Amino acid sequence: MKISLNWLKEYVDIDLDPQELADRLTMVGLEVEELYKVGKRAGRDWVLDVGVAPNRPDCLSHIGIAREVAAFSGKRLRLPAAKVISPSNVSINSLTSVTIKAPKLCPRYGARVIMDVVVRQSPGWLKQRLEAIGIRSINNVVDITNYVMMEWGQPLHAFDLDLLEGERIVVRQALPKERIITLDGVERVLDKGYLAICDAKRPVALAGIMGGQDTEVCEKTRRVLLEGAYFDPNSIRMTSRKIELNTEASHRFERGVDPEGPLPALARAAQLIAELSGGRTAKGVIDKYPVPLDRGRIGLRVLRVEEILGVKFSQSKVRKYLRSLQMRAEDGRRGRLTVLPPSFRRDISEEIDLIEEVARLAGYENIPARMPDTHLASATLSREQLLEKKAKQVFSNNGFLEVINYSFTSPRVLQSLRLPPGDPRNNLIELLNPISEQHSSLRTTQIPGLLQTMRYNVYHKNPNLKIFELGKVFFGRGKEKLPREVKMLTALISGDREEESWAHGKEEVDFYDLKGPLEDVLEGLGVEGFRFCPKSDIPYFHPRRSVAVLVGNEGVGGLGEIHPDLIEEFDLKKRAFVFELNFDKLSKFCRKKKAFSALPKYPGIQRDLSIIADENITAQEIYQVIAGIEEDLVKDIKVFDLYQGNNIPPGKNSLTYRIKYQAPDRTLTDEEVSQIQERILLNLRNKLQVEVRDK
Amino acid sequence: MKEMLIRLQQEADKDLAACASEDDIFAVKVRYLGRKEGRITMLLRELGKIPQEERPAVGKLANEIKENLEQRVAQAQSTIHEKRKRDYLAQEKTDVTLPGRKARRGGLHPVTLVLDEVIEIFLTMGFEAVEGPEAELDWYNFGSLNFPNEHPARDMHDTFYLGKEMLLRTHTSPVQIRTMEKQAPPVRIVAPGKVYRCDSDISHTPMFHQLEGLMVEEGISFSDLKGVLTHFLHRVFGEETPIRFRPSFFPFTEPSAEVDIRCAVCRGKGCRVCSQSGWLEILGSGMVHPEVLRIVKYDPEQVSGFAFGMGIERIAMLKFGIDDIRLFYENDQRFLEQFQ
Repeated sequence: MKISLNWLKEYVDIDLDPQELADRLTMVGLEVEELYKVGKRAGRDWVLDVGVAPNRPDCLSHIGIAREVAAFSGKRLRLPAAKVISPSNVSINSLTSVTIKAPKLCPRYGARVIMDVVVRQSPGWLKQRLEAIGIRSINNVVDITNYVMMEWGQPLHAFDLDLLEGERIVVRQALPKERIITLDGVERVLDKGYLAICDAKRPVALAGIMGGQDTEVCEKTRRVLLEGAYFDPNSIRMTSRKIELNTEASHRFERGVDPEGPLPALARAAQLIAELSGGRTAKGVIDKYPVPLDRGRIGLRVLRVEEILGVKFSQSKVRKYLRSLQMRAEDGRRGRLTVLPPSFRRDISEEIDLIEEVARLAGYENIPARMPDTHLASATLSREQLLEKKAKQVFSNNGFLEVINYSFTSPRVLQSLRLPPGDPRNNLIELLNPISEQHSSLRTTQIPGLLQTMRYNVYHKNPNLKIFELGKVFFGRGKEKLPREVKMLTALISGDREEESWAHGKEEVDFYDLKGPLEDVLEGLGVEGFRFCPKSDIPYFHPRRSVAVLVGNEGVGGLGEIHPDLIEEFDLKKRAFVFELNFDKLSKFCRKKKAFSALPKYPGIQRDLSIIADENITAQEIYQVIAGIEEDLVKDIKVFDLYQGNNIPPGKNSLTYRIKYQAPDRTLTDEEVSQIQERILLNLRNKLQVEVRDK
Repeated sequence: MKEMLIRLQQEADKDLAACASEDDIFAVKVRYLGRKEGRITMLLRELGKIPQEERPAVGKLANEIKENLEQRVAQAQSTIHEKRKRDYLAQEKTDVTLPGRKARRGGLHPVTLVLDEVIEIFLTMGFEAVEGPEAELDWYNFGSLNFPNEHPARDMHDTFYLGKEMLLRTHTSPVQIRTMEKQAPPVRIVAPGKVYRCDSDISHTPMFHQLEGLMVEEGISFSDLKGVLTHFLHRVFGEETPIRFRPSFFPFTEPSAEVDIRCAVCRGKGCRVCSQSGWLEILGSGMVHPEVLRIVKYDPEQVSGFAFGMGIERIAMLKFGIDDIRLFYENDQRFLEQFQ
């Protein structure tokens, strides 16, 4: 709401400079968002752009703001005369009539008629006032309706009475398919439920939103019918939203204008129009008020003020604050006040509303800050939160950067993963009002987001990436139930392992550069019994470079090299490796406590075992055979050399395992260890047909 | 015997003098002094064969020669060892001005960094961190928070809808309701998480992060609200940062307060960052509206409380001097690396 300082000063004396005034208004809850100068020399003025909260429609006018200034400064409020001086002898009732057929939607409708008007340009002072607050001048009649709206906060509308069929007003719900061309030149099809201002035949205005072109005041107009009404806020809001039309009038009506506002505003506007257009105001006013809007009295316990605000106020002080806001506040019994708020304060309906007014006028800065007088023991993060934190830390320590992508995706992007028809990730939840196609659905996987992040970085010359994301994905469960939200942990690497440097060569990352950190995070989280199972049918992965990640027999995710088709489709230009894990599932398997196991007292023995195996035999198979001897003395099995080439027959791998033996109660002998080693070799030969390599 | 000993000594001296390395010296040592085959050792073993009367003199001489040789071997070893050290210290030239070898560093997203810091502060004041769904029912996002249907207060939130009654939460406040429904007072929580509004420009992204806080128990007042939030803001922005509370409107709190901190850029003089006001809006807060308490079946006559909410990106922007909120979601490596 733009407020002209010169205009405001008509209603209240202000001895603050503009900036001080802006600060004071801000501190009583009327935030001045902007303060600027307009006009030159004698026309110099200041404009305050005030952010008015939705619960304070009473402040959407100069008088409204003046009331607040008067309340906090103690100055007197001067209201302009709202009276028709020397009306004509012609009674309004002989000229027109008003019928309300929808009293719930239109509790009050007032009208005045001005005759013999000459519609012309407005005088300079009026134009200046309106222009200062950003309203374009149209003609003297329309300008006055706007002027009075900005003065009193009561929207008004002027009809050309001679253009109204039957020269009367009927307020009713629109009939389906009724049409009206509104003042903005748009033809609008109405619907049942819209409140329409009609003449004997047709809608002539969208109630509370905008008038119609057919009955608009123009140069030919001689008789003006002025409308001042109170419309049901919900109805105005619903219609305004449906037809997507917001106006100064609808903005006020949907927030709730003063039900006592129409009559003074009508009188004020009629008088001004008569003065500026040489017209005469018909005698009397039409005031249809079929459903009076009652206001109740509210009890206020003075002690309650202290309980809520934490500081004591005397009864007289509370009463003074409320009265300064034009509330009727009477002392009741036992520390109570009985309060009747003014008609324009429809936001005040219970005790807490009054307490807020006291706080506002007392000034929040005058309420002391203190720490709660209660036991403030510290709290801790939950197990899940700690696991999340840990996972992020492990990745960060492994050189990964955390990214956060939007939770949105689109069917088109998801399609590029080529998921099979039954895959639950295909069922995207769509937004009803997305901002773009790209952000039209909720993601069911974080992989496309990371690929897009990679593309962004490749395009911006950051080709070496190690990134991860921990966030939610969404699966629909029908119209009735909220989606299932699952936390996923997803990571991507691409480009060179290390930044190019004098110290080492340039080497591109591979599958194991991502598998390592994945193992690290699983171990770090204390996941027991995880394993990897080669899988060639994950459609977005390289068929020979992908695994399913399992804990026990439960699948928790997958790891692999991104399929070259996707590399092309996302225009990534380089190989990329990705894994995605269901973090919620994973956290079920995380060991709860760290346990200490005693350090060995006796030295262990290490033995290397070199074998030549068919290249189709996996490291895991060999590991399982070695571990399969179920020997307590075997403490660790590590593959530490893998070789193909010279001296090794084609199609074979040379592998060296380092096995660590240890007993808790004695030093092992060479013979003991050799025997176990022999058994291991025998198993390997029998089960996997491997050969022992010459030492 | 005597002559043999003296000859041995002379030979040993020659051999020792010819040594070029520690290994050579070790070989000399073995050759003459080795426990099994050392020439002097072997000669000493012959001592029993010489006449009794000569034995002490020869024995003495032999031991002298042995000890003497041992000593000189040790000395030669040490000399050559020291020389080798000196040599490699002199030879191993390194350009110490070359940059070091290091592993790539990772890092957390600035939003995570700020959330962790903020949560930590509230944990120490006994606020537990709880989470709630990002896709919400209209009732939890609006209705239960005293936003009537078709009320202009809803205009303050540009909502993404998933269905008639389903939406993406526009704030983390629904977690208040979900928590109070499940738990009797006292309640002390913070609820961090993602929120969504259909808005996108230089200062808005359709998704961002909020942290909501709630404290409800007997006898909590606006004064407590000011105390807790002042403490919090001083921890985040420094003890000296001026703070102001001013009236505002949220349907689910009353009295409501906007909390501002003094603009750090212009120190209150007014600049572009604070749109000339000298203050920066940092969080919204207020006393929990009695209607909200009634909705979750708390008795507003028995308990009272306050709630607050803040935008995490906004705090991060102020802390790190970031001027475009969209940077948080572009995930440009050069951006993310700045918070390592």
